[in-house]
Amino acid sequence: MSRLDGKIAVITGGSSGIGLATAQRFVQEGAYVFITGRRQSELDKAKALIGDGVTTVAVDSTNSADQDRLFATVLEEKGGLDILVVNSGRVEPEELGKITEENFDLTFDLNARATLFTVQKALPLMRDGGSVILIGSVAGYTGINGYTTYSATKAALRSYTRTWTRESKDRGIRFNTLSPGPIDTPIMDLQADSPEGADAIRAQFAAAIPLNRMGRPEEIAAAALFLASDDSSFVAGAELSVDGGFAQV
Amino acid sequence: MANPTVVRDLEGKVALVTGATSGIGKAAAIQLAAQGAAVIVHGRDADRGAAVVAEIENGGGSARFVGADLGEPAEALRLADEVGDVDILVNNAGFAWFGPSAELDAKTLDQLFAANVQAPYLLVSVLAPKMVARGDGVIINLASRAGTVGQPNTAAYGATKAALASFARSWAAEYGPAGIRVNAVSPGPVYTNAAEREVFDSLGETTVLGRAGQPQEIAEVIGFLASPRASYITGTNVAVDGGRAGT
Repeated sequence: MSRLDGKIAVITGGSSGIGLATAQRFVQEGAYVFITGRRQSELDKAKALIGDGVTTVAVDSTNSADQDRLFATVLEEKGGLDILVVNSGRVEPEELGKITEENFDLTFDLNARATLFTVQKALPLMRDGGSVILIGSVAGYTGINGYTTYSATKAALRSYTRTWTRESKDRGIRFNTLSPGPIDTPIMDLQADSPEGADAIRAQFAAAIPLNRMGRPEEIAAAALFLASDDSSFVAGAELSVDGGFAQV
Repeated sequence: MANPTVVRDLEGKVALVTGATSGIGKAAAIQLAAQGAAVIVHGRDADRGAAVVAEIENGGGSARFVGADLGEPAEALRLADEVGDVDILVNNAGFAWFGPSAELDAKTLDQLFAANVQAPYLLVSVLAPKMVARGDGVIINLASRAGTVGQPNTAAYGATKAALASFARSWAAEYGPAGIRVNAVSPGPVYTNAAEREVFDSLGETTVLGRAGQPQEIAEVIGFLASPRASYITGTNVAVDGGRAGT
């Protein structure tokens, strides 16, 4: 079915995981999607998976000139924008006492600073009634060991959507935060030495989640589709947590 | 009238919507039917129930009416028995009393809690274990922004709605391991009563979107939460309030 027929979407960090799953779902629903990522080789792989209906733009989200080029491309090819999903982000856990200035700066630069300027540069292209989705995290309102810096950046995104909802009142643009909990992505396997080790990490997460399992990227994509579509036409300035109940109960 | 892009992702499911003869409940019943669910329309008034059933059937959907006065615990338990197995339970029935706290008498307070809090609890106490036995089920509680935000004249009503959001968290934890998802939805001002259109107009102006919502806009969120599209969402309280109250 086609909930997003004729819509133009930009998804940052769209070459893998949640961003890729969201791009695939949006294209299936009739949208034309621009995905960004730093490496063209990864973008090419994503494009091969998605098929028609997608343009890739190699972008380092922290680079202002790259962002200008992205939105110039969107304007030139499609003339405007209906949906923006800001998904690019990084996490490098470090506990207080061992936090490096370098990690702090890199994390805030990409997660918090680049998100703001991505939205600011996209805004002139956004059509009235559009939808902006910031990918937050339940870490933004939960204490998790080692997540000082990452969690603070995600709390910042939650705050952005509140302010921007008010500031965009006259244009009917809806800003919402979509906050995933523990999601099973290929990164899981990279964190462990063996498949058994990765399964042990999954089991550890599952034990802490009411639904007793990690989430799938497709499940975040389905929630992003909800927030992007008119199904959520009265949902604004809100946070939708998709976490199997992990941080809810 | 359901959204034209509605997807039939609830085929083969049975849904019970309480308080489905008007307002948000009626819109939710029509929405879930449009998504393919067989809907049990609950209400007190058989004529109004028949009208909702007819509207669903005319749209190609499947529905039947079951009457019960959920202000009576015995009636709530009878309803739970009579409906058999349900896959989707929407706890929507309830009523509001707004005014200074000093003016609410004990009997009305009891009735508020009986209808808004006790009845959903009793329905879940019977229906959720059957969902657990089947390893599948969705429960959606209609809460309200009045349950999260302090304002004059809403103390008792807000407390009943806060209880429903609390139920959603507790039941998500209790039934989650069996694959049952439980969420709350918190509407802001919604045009639920044609006679009070002007009241909702002025309440709507206080939202960030600058308008009150339509019942259909709440129904679509219920339809989303009921569907596999929300398969990893549980224990949440989704604000559908035009930005008036965050979560």
